[in-house]
Amino acid sequence: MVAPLFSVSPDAAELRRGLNVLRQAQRLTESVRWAIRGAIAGLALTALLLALARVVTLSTSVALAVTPAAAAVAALAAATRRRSLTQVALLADRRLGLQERLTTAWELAGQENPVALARVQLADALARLSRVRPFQAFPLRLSWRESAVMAGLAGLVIILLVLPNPHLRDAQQQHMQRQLLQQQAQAVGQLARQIQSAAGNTPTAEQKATLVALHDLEQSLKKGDVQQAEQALVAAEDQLRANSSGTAVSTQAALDRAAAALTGSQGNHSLTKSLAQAIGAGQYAQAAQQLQQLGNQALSLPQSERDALQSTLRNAGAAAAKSDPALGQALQQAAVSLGSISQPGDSATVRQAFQQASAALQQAGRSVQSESQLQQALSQVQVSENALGTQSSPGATGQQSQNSSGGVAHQVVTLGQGAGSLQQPGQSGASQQGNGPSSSSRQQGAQSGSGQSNGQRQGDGQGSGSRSNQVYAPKPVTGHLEQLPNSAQGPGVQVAANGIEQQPADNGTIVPYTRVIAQYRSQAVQAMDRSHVPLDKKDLVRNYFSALAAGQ
Amino acid sequence: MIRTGVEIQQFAETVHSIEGEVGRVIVGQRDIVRNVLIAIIAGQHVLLEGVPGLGKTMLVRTLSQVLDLQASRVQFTPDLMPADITGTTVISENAEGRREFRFEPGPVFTNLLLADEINRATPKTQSALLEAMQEKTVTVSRATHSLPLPFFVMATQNPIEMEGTYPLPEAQLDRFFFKLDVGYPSTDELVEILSRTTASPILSGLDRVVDGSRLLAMGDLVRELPIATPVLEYAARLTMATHPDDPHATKEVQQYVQFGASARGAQALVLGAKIRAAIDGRFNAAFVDVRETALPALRHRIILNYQAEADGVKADTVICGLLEKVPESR
Repeated sequence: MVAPLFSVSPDAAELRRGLNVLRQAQRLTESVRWAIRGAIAGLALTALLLALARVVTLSTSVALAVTPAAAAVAALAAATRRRSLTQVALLADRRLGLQERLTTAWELAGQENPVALARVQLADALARLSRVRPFQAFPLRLSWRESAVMAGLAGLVIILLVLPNPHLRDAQQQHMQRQLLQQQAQAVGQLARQIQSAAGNTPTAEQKATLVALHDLEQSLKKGDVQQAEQALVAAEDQLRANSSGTAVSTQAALDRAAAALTGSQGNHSLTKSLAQAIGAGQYAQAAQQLQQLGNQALSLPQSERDALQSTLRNAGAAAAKSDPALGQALQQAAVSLGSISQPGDSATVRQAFQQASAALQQAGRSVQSESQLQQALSQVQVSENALGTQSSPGATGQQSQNSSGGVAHQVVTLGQGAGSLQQPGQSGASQQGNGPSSSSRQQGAQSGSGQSNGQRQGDGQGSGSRSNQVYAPKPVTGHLEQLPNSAQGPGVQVAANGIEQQPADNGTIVPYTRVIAQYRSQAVQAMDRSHVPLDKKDLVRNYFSALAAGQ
Repeated sequence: MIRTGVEIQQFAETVHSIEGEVGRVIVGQRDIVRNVLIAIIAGQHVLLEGVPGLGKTMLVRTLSQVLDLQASRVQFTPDLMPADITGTTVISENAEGRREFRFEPGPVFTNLLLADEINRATPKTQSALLEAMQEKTVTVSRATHSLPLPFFVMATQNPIEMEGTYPLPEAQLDRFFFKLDVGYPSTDELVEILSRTTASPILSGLDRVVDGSRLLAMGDLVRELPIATPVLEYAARLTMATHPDDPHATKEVQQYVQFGASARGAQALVLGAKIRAAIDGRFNAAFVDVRETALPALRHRIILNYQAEADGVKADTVICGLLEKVPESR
C-alpha cells in the first residue's frame, strides 16, 4: 500500500528502510533462536530415541541425525516466516521502549489524511530509529534457561551413547547369527553341489538321500531363524545318520585289505601295483578299469606271471572276503578263471570273471564314496551346529577350549563320530572333523568308536552311540588331552596323556541324570543371570531342564 | 492546520508549571493532581473520593487560582434542591418598574464547580447536574442557559459515614471522566503539610499559569495527538474485558462484575492516554498511557455484584487483574 505521505515525505521512505533493516535483524535473530529451540527439541527426541534403542532396534546414527535436522527445520521455518512491518515496528517499540513511536509513525505514513501532528510524530520516530542498532532491538543471545536445558539434554544424550546398550549387542549378535546362518547355508549348498557333481548323472540312492537332506538344510538355514535352523540341523543330522550305511566301513576295510594284498604279494608287481595304487587313492573307477584291462592282458601273459597274478588275486580276494564277501568272491572268481585257461575258448570266461570283479570293485568304491559324502555332509552339519552353538552362547567357546586344554571333561565326549573317513582331493580333512567335545545335548550318552587307518586316510572311524538316561558326571582328568595321529583309532579319538581314553565308562563317573539335573539346572540359571541372555533363550534353557525333570 | 512539535513541548511545560504551582500548596498527591489536570484538559469532570481532611477542597481552590478560573462551591446536603444548584426564576422589577420573571443563575454557572459531598444530596438534586455535566447547559423553566466555558465539576464524596447518603446512580457516575481515590499522605508529606499550613496563608502567593481559553486550546491540541490502531484496540479490548460475558474477561470479572464499563470508559481511556503522552512530551499515545489511565477511568464504571462486596473485592483489584491478563497486542 503506497500512502500519500510516502510520495511527499522522504522521512516516510526512510522509516520503511529502517523498519526493513530491523526486519532482517529480527529474521536472523529468530532463526538462531528457533534453531536453538529446534536443537533442544531434537536433543530431547534423540535422547528418547536412544532410550528406545535399548528396547527396540533403532539406528543410533538416525537418532543423532535428528538434532541437526530439527535445528535446521526450525531455523528455516523461522527464516521464511512472514512478518509485516507493523509487527516489526510493534516488536521494536516494545524491545526498545520506544512507546509505540515506530508503530504510530508507520501507521500514519499509510494514512490518506494523516492528523496534524503526523509529520512531527514521524520525525520524532525517525530520530529515535536513527539511534537504534538493529541487533539492539533483536539481540542474538541465548537465554539461561535454554542453555541449561540444552546442556542437560546434551549430557543425557552423551550418557546414553556411552552406556553399553544390551539391546544393540543382542541385535548385533542376531545379525551375526544371521550372517553365520547364511555362511553355513552357503557351505551346505557348496557341499551339495560338490556331491552332485561327483555323483554325475547316476547318483546312488544314498547320494540322493544326502542331497535331499542337504538341500532341505540349506533352505532352512537361508531363512535366518536360529531356532528353526537348529531344528533343521537336528533333523538333517538324524536323517543323515539314518541314511548312513553300516557296511561302508567293512567295504572300505575290504578294499584296503585287497589293496594291501595286491601291493604286498610276491607276484608281478608291475601288473598289480597300479591297481593297488588306484584303490589306495580312492580312484575306484580307474581301478575297476585297470582290473578289467588286467583280465584282457592275462591271456597273453606267460604262465608263470599268470600264476603269480592268480595267486595275488586269490590272496586279495581272501583278504577282502573278511569284510566284503562279494568283492572277495569276485576277486577269487577272477583268480580261478586264470587257472582254468587251457584252450582259446576260455578267454571269454576270464574276461567275464574279470568284468564281474571289476563291477564288484566299482560297486564297493561307489558305496564307500557315498558313505564318504554322507559323512562329509554329517560333518558339515556338525560344524554348523557347533558354529551356531558357539554364536548363540558366548561362553560356549571358552568352555570348549577349557574342556580341551584343562583336562576336565565337562561334557560327554563323542568319540570317533562323524570323522571324514575319506579325504577328497582339494578338501581339508581337518575341517571336516566333527569330533571332540560336543555341546549338543542330544548327543549325550556313551558312544564308542572304532576305526582303522592305512596311513593315508585320516580318521575313518565309525561312531555308534545310543542315547541313555544316564549322563557323564565329570571328574578331573590328570594329564592333557591329545590326539593320536595315524592311530588305529583315528583322529577322532581323544585320550589323555596317561593313556586313559576319555570314553564314558562305568567307573563311577556315570550316574543317573536325576542326581545331577538339579545342580546342572542351578548352574545354568546362575550363568544366565550373570550374563546377558535373551529372554526367549532363557526360556529355552529352562524348558529344557523342565522337560528333563518331567521325565524323572 | 499543521501542528508543530513546539506546541506539544509548550503543552508539557505548561502542565508541569501548573503541577509545580499546585505543588506549592498541595503536598504529595502527585497522581491526584496529574489526573485532575488531565480531566480538566479533557474538559471533563472528576469525582474525588476520600475521607475528610485530605485537601480535596484545597485542591479545587488552588486549581481555580492557578488556572485563573472562576470557582464556586456547593455543599451537598439532603435538603439541597436542584434549584439551589442550577438557579431559579424570580420576579423582579425592571427599570421601567414592571415586574417580570428573571433567571437567577445558580452556583453551577461557573468554570470550576466544587460539588462537596455530592452523595449527601438526594438523587433528584444529584441529577440536576447531569445536563450541566454532559451538555454544559442548564434548562430552567423551558429556558436553556449555557454554562461558561470551560466548565468542570469536581465532586467529592466520603467513603465512610454512609448513613443518610445517596450513592450516585450509574448514569451520574458515568459522566465523571475520572474517579480518583484520595489517600492518606505519608509521614514526610504530613510533616510538610503541617509546616505549610501552620504558617502564613498559602494561597496568597500563587501564580496564574494559564487561563480558561488556554485550557480549551490545550484540549483541542491533545485530541489531535495520533494514536496507533494497536493501542486503540488495546483500549477497546481492555474495556470490553470488563464485561463478564466477554471472551477476554478474567475469572475475577466473571465472578465479581455485574456490569462492565461503557463506551465512555473507553473514550476516557484513549483521551486520558493522549493527554498523558502529551504531558510526557511525546507525539503519540502508547500502551503505557492506556495502562496508567485504566484505574481512574474504569474504576467507577465497573459495577460489582454482591459477591464482590461480600468478599471485599474492589474494582481496582479487578482492573489490575485485567491489566495483567489482557495482552497489549493480538
